[in-house]
Amino acid sequence: MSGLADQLKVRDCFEAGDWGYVIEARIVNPLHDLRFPEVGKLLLKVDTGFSGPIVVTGDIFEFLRLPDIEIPEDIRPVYWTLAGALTMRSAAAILEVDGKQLETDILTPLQGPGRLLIGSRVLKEIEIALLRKKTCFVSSQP
Amino acid sequence: MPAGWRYIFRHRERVRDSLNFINLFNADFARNMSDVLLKKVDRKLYSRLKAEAAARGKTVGEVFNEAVRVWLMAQRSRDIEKERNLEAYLDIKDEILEHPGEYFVIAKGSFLGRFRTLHDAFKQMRENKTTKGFVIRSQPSGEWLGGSIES
Repeated sequence: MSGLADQLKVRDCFEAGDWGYVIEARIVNPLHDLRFPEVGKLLLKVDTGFSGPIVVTGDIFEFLRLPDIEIPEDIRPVYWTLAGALTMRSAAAILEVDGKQLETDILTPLQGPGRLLIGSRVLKEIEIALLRKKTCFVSSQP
Repeated sequence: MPAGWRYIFRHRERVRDSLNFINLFNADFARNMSDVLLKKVDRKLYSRLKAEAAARGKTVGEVFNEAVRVWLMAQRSRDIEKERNLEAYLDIKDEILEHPGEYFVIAKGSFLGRFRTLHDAFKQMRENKTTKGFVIRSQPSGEWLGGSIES
């Protein structure tokens, strides 16, 4: 990597082959002092087509005891896909990513299996660059 | 004839009624009891239950019934709290929509306040000694483009 990548001061990079662009992160529920994963980091798929924050599978949502503090049913966010509307369960939590702690909403689909991904609402708050097959944390300050 | 037998003979009608009552009671008792085979019971938990039951001079079934009663009561009180939280939420729903960047905390059936950070919202819950309730920040719905779902 050279040129623009050098100017951006590339730090950690992640690669997940056919799975696409990913970054490492950890989700924390400070109220119950729970984190997922407890050891190491979680690979979240970078999904610029998703305008929301973070999506996880139902079992991670349960593990973090997020149902205890999730928002009421009538204000659950809805995401429009080509296949129709997808209603999400949502709870506030902390995302630890690139040495930062971001307050965000963790979502999981009301029906069907969830995925592990990070959407554009959170991507706006971190500095990443897609370099060939890698996703890298970068610093934009000279 | 011994005195006891004489009494029974003399009051045989009353004794028969009493015996019928006892039989009815036993039949009712048996009807309300079931032999249940439970699958996937944690072996260690079961051993502890058995030991606790023996220490208290009770059967495992009796202690199990007690435990289930307590669990059901806890569930019911939790449902009641959830209902009260929901009522409190409906009272302030408009206010939540007016302050989209803030966290609203509702727990123990009351609105506990609105906070600029999640840290402060959780702190308030901890001070109220609760870990259950609504932590609400108004968030927009959005779109999820097809391409990113497929991959």
